[in-house]
Order: sequence, then structure tokens, then C-alpha cells
Amino acid sequence: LNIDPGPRVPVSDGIRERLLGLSAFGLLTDIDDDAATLLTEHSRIATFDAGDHVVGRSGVLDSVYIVLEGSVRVGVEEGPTITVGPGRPVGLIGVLTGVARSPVLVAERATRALEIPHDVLLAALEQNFSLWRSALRLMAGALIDVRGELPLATTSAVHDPGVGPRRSRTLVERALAITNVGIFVGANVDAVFDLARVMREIYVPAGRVFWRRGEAADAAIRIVSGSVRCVGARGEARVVGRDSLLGTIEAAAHRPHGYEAQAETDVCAYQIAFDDWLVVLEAHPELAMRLLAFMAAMLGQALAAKPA
Amino acid sequence: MKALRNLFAIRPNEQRDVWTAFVTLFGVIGSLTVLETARDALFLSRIPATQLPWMYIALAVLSLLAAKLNARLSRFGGRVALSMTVAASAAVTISLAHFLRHVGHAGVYAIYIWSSLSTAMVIVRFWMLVSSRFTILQAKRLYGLIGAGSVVGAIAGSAVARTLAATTGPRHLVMLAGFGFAATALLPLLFTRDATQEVQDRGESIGALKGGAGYLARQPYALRLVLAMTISTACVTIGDYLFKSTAAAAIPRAELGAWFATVYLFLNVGSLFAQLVLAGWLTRRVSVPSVFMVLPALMLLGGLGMLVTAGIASALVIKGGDGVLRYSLHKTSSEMLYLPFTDAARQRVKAVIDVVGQRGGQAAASILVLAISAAGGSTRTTSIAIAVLALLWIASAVSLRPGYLGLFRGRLGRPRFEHLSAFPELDLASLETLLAALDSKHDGEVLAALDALEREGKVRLIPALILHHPAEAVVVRALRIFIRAHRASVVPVVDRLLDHASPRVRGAALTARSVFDRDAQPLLLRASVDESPEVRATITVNLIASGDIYGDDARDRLRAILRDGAVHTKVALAEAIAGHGATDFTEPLIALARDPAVEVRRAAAKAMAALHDPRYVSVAIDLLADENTRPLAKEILIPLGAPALQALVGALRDPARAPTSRWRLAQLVSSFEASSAARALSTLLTREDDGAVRFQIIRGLEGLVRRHPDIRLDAAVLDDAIDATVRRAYRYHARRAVLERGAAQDPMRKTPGGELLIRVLDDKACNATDRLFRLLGLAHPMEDFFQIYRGIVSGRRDAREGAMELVANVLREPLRSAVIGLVEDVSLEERLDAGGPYRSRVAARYEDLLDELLESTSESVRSVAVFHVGELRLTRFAHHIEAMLRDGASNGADGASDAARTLERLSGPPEEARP
Repeated sequence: LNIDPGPRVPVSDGIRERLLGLSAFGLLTDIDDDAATLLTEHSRIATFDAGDHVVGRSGVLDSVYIVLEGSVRVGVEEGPTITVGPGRPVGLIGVLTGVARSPVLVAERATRALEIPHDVLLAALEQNFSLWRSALRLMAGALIDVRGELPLATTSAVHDPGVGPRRSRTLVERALAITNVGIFVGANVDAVFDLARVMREIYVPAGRVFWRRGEAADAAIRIVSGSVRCVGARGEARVVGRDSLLGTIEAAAHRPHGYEAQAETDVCAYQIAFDDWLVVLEAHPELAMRLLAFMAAMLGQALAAKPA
Repeated sequence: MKALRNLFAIRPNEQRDVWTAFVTLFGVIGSLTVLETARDALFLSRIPATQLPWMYIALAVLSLLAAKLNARLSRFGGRVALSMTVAASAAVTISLAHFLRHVGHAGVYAIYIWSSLSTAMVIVRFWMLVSSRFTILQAKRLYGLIGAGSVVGAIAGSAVARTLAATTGPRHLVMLAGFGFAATALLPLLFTRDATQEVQDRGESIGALKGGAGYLARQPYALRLVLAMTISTACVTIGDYLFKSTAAAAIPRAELGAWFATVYLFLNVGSLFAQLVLAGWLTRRVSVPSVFMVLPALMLLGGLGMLVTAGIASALVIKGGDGVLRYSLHKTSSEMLYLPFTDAARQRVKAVIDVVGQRGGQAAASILVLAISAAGGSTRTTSIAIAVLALLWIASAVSLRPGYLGLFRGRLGRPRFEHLSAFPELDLASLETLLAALDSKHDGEVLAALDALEREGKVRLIPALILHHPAEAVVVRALRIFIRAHRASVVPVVDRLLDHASPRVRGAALTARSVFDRDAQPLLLRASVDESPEVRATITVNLIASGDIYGDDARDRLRAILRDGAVHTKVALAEAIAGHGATDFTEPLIALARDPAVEVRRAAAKAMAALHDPRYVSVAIDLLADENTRPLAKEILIPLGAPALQALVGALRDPARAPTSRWRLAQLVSSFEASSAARALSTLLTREDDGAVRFQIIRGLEGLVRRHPDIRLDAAVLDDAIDATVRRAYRYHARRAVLERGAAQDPMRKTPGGELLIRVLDDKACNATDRLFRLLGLAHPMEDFFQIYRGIVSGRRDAREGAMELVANVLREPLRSAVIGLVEDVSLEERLDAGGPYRSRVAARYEDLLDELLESTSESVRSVAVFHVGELRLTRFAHHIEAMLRDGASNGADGASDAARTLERLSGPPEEARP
């Protein structure tokens, strides 16, 4: 969240100017024309003087603001005050998690922001996968920036490492295994099956390295049994166990692994190539939106836990 | 009772309010009928019929006071207010009956006015209470039955009046009516308590009259509704006058009481028929504004008949239409016309209609009758007035439809976002902004502006001096843009970059130099002195691409680059091939497009897009699978037009391709020339078996229509697809019903696999419903079915109601009932009943259904069915599953694992503990 004065943002407010504002921060990378026009056509450039309160048109926060120039101070009831600078969104977590939030938003200095109404953004995310993918990338990247690269430690690794299956699970058994977990609870069973089809059950002996720091993140791991030791750049370590997801956030952020993951015990896990997961998500927009909401909720928690 | 309940489909949670409404209405209307019979007999036997118009005018004035009183009563809440209104009616009626002998003609006038006032007060309050309890879908189901209470009450009332009229005088009938009210007064308290609504009533009713006028000014539909109601009141008032005056002239005074009672009895029996048979049937099949036109159509016929015959028979025809339909079909449709309003708005509009529509209409009709009489007009003149008013009534009903649907649309929230298919023409202000952005101190903005100018085809406006920009990324991007645009005028500036400190810039400059000036000497010279391997490699690939290195030498060097070249060398090769427009490097470029390095694949894809060569179609289709190259693959394919479209369609039809690959192709088809893409997608829609691919074809068609709103899709194809999708949805529901019943009969069937199977079928039905609404949106482009579906699944009552009503108005039977049945909040059995001709026959027995599901075209369904057979140890399926395993019909390796596991279970020893 480094604050930079930001690019000089155009004064007039046409579609191109809005597009230019977003492009200048690389926010439209790999977004196709359809999404770009949809997003920019229904948004507007809002300007605020220093000290102005930033609120939506209806008096509550009903839009996402992408700061183009200047900075906005965000205060939420349950968390610390955060300053959001150019190229960063305000209000995105609320719209994605579906939780109505009324943060206090104050422009710290003369600020320009692209104002995208919630319903426009949600419709665009549902309609356009390239936009959804970009949003996921941004969200996951922000999560790594805020929370750090290491996954959260789990107590299950020590207290309840789980028992690996005696034989490989069938397709239906794999579907049953994930259908009541995380974002799959209540999800369309077709999506669960599509995912189960591309999941691979792997058995990793103790000591084997899943990946090293700096390697491309192209797969996600969900641990069924055993524990994995994750060591970050400065040697800090965390041990994760049953039901933990590894590699997903960095793959979603399109970043290399920021830590080394090594099997501490014999590990049974489901592995899924991230590209395959993306295919499933593209085919099931509802599941894709759940994942985005899940990521947004994690980011919200991480921001709330971060010292002011 | 049960048969009646089934007829009107009353749900358990609705029963109390429905039956309370029925009984209350029965009591109120029964009492009113007795009162009105006595009133007409009293009045017409003692006072000339020509005085009737004055009564109507007096009623109009006194109604204002009644409306105020009604508003005050609202503070007690809906059901209490109704109870108090009925009790007050009882008290006043009994008092009038008691004093009638002492006050002579004045008492007759008082009874006439009071009977009409109490009708208005009680009925208005009753329907306000009822409409606050039910949604429009409930109204369509239940108002028929509730309204029947009115008709049955009227029959009972007129039967009682007819019986007593022969033996006793009208005064006793008035007294009886008062006791009837008294007996009914406590019934409204049996309505369920609805605190929110009653509080709302309390707050809103006070200012209803005042607010109503302002609301009318803002809401055209409300204004039209007031107009329609005013005309309708005027029309029936004149009809009533015509009937009564004709009867007074034709029937002896002493027989008037019995005669009116008899006529009303027959009319009420007819009304019962209309209410029980006609109202429900018609309101479910015809739009509400259309139902509202039935009574005026009959009034028009009656008016014309009266014009010809001018006798009591024709008067009976007019009164017959009014008497049979007014409190049945017409009342039901009138109440439904209020349903698009919010509760608060409905109260305001009703308040205005009560005063302006009812009383104003009566007053206007009375003045018209008086004017006709004063001008010496005959009965025929009055008939003409009825006919004209009936025509106006029909016209006003027609004008209600757009506003009626518009209000429901408004409940859905913001409409779907229409958006541009392309950026609008670049205007001067935007161009200035883009050019100004090139001076930005922020590299990101400069790069964005460069991209924007290239995209707009304005590369010639990018100043050549941008090549002196301090940022390497900006210079390299600018050089590549200049190369793609073949802007040779920048050569003098490019030459100055050949000594740039950055090897990347030097390499890009050499590529530009090589593209703009085919003289190889400067390149060869530079190759001999430049220390950077990257630059030398760039020079080499440019010399190969330009043909200055050729033959075996070129082939060997290319092979070496493709095999061992660094990433930047391969990227440079791809850029050189594109820059030189070299067409003889198909194979190397295809090899680069399959390189493990993303940067190389992207560079190759960019080169292919620049070369615009149909030979790259096949590899471009493969590049669609990778999210890193997908946008570039589209840039290769779309400009190629017909050959690319043909190849995509061929790939889509290729069963060997995985569905996940094929549905991505379906999405892309919509980006091609609109009419060709529409034809291709429509054809694919009819042939595709895979649900996911079919879904993407539908989404492709949606995208096409969004970008090209004028495009016409093949209606027959869409109708077939809609038909098949509705059937599919009902088939999934029917199968789920069999499984649920089976599980209820035998709890052993409630296994994880059994429950998963039910969930799969439920989700499949939901998927089919979602797709159905998308298809409906394509078939009805003027209606926003996307938004309608969102309204239905939103969970917001108002949005859901609006959405359902729009569906009911746009679709025709039997599709309408079937579609509503899929999304209505009903039990599974009721849903299946709504399917009508779309309901599929499925195996009725649990195990027979499993057998059927083993043959399902859905891989998920088939796999879970196999799994569930294993759970239940149904050995009779062993051969079937063996055959599936043999034929490879069970999902390839994944499905086979379940088939094999199930066979193990069926033939093996008792199950080990589950993992």
C-alpha cells in the first residue's frame, strides 16, 4: 500500500479517459475489450478535495472506487485505518463478500477516483471471465502483500493429521470429499464434479519437496492427511496439515511460490493444476464468484488484523 | 372442501387468511345484498326513478366524508379497522331500520345513501387488507376462491331477500341486513396478525388522500388506472340507472321487491359461475388488463342492444353483464391491477380511486343522466352514452398494459447493462488527453497512452521523439508499435538508438531498422561490433527473416534457435518474422507457439496475428486453451473471418475434443461477423449434447445479441431449444421426485450417494432453468429475461412478484404455466403438475429409475448412479455396470473407477470401513 502521487489523470471524463486511468496502473492487463468497455462505460471519474467524505451516490458506499490520483483514508468499525493510494480499489471487499459496509472514507488530499457502481462491477465480473481473472489476481496479490507469502499454520497438522485412504478414491468419492468443504458447500454439484475430475490424488513421502521458493506456482494442493512444512525467504517456518490449501493464492496472483513446501510426514493430498481449476471456474461463474468472495473475505480479515 | 382446496391450490400457511377472507366476504356481501334489495324496492316503490341521479350525486359528496372516516380507522390496523367498519355498518343499518317508520321519505333516501356508503367503506377496506396479505401469484390462485365468498354471499343474501320479500316488508330486510353485519363484524379479527403491514397501514393511510394526487402526477399508470376506474364507474352507474328506471316503469310497484330479489338471485348464481369457473381460468391465461376488458365488452353489447330494442329484456342484458361479472371477474381483475404498486402507493391510489373514480364517476354519470333527461333524451340516448363509455373503458384498459408491466419491470431493479460493442469515435478532447499522457512522468500512463493510440489507429500521431524517452520499456514499446504500423519515417531517430546503452533497446532498434530499410549492411556491420549476445541474436533472426541469411545456413540457425535459443532470442525471432511480414516461416512460428516459455508463446501469437495467415488457424485454436495466449489467439482468429469461423465450428463438432476445450470455442464464435456467427451458433445449439458446451453456445448467442441488438435469430431453433430445455428441467425434477419418494419409503436408501444423486438432479434442473431463461431472453429480445431471472432468484418479494408477473404476461400457454411452475415456490409434486405437456415420463420405481440413470447422458448422473448401486448392493445391476465398464461408457478413467469399485462391492465380501 505504498502511496505514490499517481499518474496525472485526465481532466475530462470520457470512456477513453477512464480506460486510460485504469490502464496506467496495469489494471486492465489481459482484460478483453468487452470487459473494458463494460467497466468504463458505466463508471465515472469522481473528484474530491482534501477532507471530503467519499460516499456513494445514494449516501452509502454503493460503488467501488479505484484511486487514480491522490489518496483516501479508510476507516472501518472493526479494523485499523488504512490509506489507499493510486491504483488501489476501495470498497471492493464489501461488494465481493456481499457484506454491507459503511466505512468512513476521507480524501487525504485532492483525489480522483474511478467510481464503478457495485451492480455494474458484479454484472461485469459475472459476464466476463477475463475481468474476473484480473480481479482474482489483484485480490490474491493484495492478500500476499498484506498477509505475507506463507500460508496460515493449522493446528490439525499437530493434533489431527488425518488418515490417508487405503486405496485411491473414485470420482464420486472425491466429489463427496469436497462437496462439504469451503466454497463448495451448497455449490452446484456439476461444478464439484468438474473439479473432482481434474483433481489428482498424490502420495508424497516425508522429506520430499513440493516446490521451492521462486518456482512457478501452477498447481494447488489440498492436504488430505499428513503435514507440510513451509519455509519463507527469511527462514521463518509454518507447518500446515489436513484440509489446508497450498499454492492457490500465489497461483491466483500469478506469482512464483514465496516459500519452500516440504512434506514433514507422509502426505496424501489432492493436486490440481491451476489452469484446470480456472477452466472449471470459467464454466461455473457462480463458483468463480464464490472463490472471489472467499478471497475477498480473507483479505478483509488480513487487513483487519494488520496493525494500523 | 379438499376438492375445493385442490382447485384453488391453497397452501397450509395460507388457509387461515383465505378462509377468513372468504367467510368475511360472504357475510358482508350477503348482508349488503339484502340491504340493497330492500333499498331498491323501497326507493323505486315510493320515489320516482328520475330522482336516482340526485342520489348518486349525494353519494359522491358524502363519500368524501366516508373516505376521511376510513382513513381515521386505518390507525387501528387492517383487520381491526375492517372489524370496526363492519360493526359500524351494523349499528347504523339497525338504527335506520328502527327509525324508518318515523321518518318517511327521508328515511328511504337515508337508506339508499347509507347502503352505498357502507358498501364502499367495507369493500375497500376488505380488499386493502387482503391485498396486503398476498403476492400477485397468490392472488391469481386465491382471489378466485376469496371472491367466490362474495358471490356465494350475494346468492344467499338474494335468496333470503326473495324468500322474505314475499312475506314481509323491506324494513325487516334492512333490519336483517344490520344483523348480518353484526354477525360478520368479529370475523376479520381471525386474519393472521401481520404486524409490519398493519403498522405500515397506520402510517400510510393518514396521508393517503393528500399523497395520492402527487403520486398520480408522477406515475402515469396510476393516472390511467384512476381514469379507467372512473369511466367504469360512470358506465355501470348509467347501466344501473337504465335498468332500474326501465324496471320501475315495467314492473308493478307491489311486485318490485320480489322481482328485484329474483333478478339478483339469478345474477348472483351467474356470478358464482363466473367466479368459480371463469375468473381463475381467465386470469391464469390472459393478462390482467385483458381480463379487465371483459365487462366493458359486455356493456358495449348491452348498450347497443338497448339502442335497438329499448325494453326490459335489453336492460336485463346490461344489468346481467354488470351483475354477473362486477363482483366476480371484474372485481378480481380490478384488484390485480393494484398489485404492481407498493403497499404504500396502493393505498394512495385506492384512496384517490375511491373518491375520484367511484364517487366522481357516479357524479359525472348522474350529471350526464340529468343532462340527457333535461334535454329530453330518451332511453336510446342513454344507451348511446353507455356504449360510448364502454368503448372508452376498453380503450383505457388497453392503455394500462404498458404501465402495468412497466411497474413490475421497475421492481426488478436496474436493467441489464447494455454496453457498447466498440469504442465510440475518438473525439478531439480524448485525443488531446491521450497525446498529453505521452508527456506524463509516470511510465505506466505513457505506456497506456501508446497502447490506446495504437488501438485507435493513430500511430502516426505519436511523436518520433518518444524514442528518446528515458524509460527502456517506453522506448521498446514505441519501437514495436512503429514496426507494426510500418512507420518508416522514424528511421532517423531509430538510427540514434543503435548506440543506446540498453541491449533491449538496441535490439528493438535494429529490428525496426531492418524492417524499415531492407539494406542488410548496417545489420551486418553492427553484428560484428556489438558485444551483447542478445543484440547479435536479434540481428541474426532479422537477417533470416529478411532473407539475407538463407538456404541451409538459415535452416540450421533456425533449428538451433528453436532447440537451444534463449527466450529473448526466440522472442526476437517471432518479432522479426512479424516485422518483415515473412510468410515462409510458418513452421518455426508454430514451433515458437508451442514453446514452454510463456513470453515466447505470446510473441509467436502476436506475430501470427500480425501476419494474418489462415495457416495459423489450427495452432491459434490450440492457443485458446492457455489463459496467457487466449486474448492473442482471438486476435489471430477473428480478423481471419470465414476460414477461422469454419475451423472453429469444425473443432466444436469434433467429439474427440474435450468439452472444456469446445465450450471455449463456442464463446469465441460470437465474436465473428454477426449473421454468420448467429447461423453457426444456432446450428450448433440444435446438435450439441453436452450441457456445458450448450450453455456456452447460449452465452455466445447472448453476447452476439448484446453487441448486435438488431440481429434476428432463428425463431424455430430457439423454440425447439426452449421446448427441449423445459422438458429437460421437468425430467430432472420428476426423477428427483421418484428418488425422494423411494428414500422416504426405505430409509436404507438414504446414503451419501443417494443424497448426492438427488442433489445432482436438483442442480441439473436449476441449470436447465437458468438456461431456459437465457433462451427466453434470446427469443424475446424486447424483454429483459436476464433481469427477470435475477428478480426471481433474488429472494426479494417485490422483485420476485414483478418477475413472475412479467413471465406470465410475455409467455403464452402452455409454456407460461410450465415456466412459472419451474420457478414458483411450490412443492415438488405441485411443480411437476405445472409441467403439463412438458412433463416427461420417467421410471416410477426406485430401482427402475436407477437403471434409467445408468444410461444418462450426464457423466455426473451416471457416475453417482453407479456409486449408489454399489452402496445399496443391488446385484441385479452387475451386468449392466460390467457392460458400462467394458464399453468405456462410464466417464473414461474417472467413471471407470466408480464402476470398478461398485463391481467390487457387488461381488466382494462385506464392506471394509470407509476411508
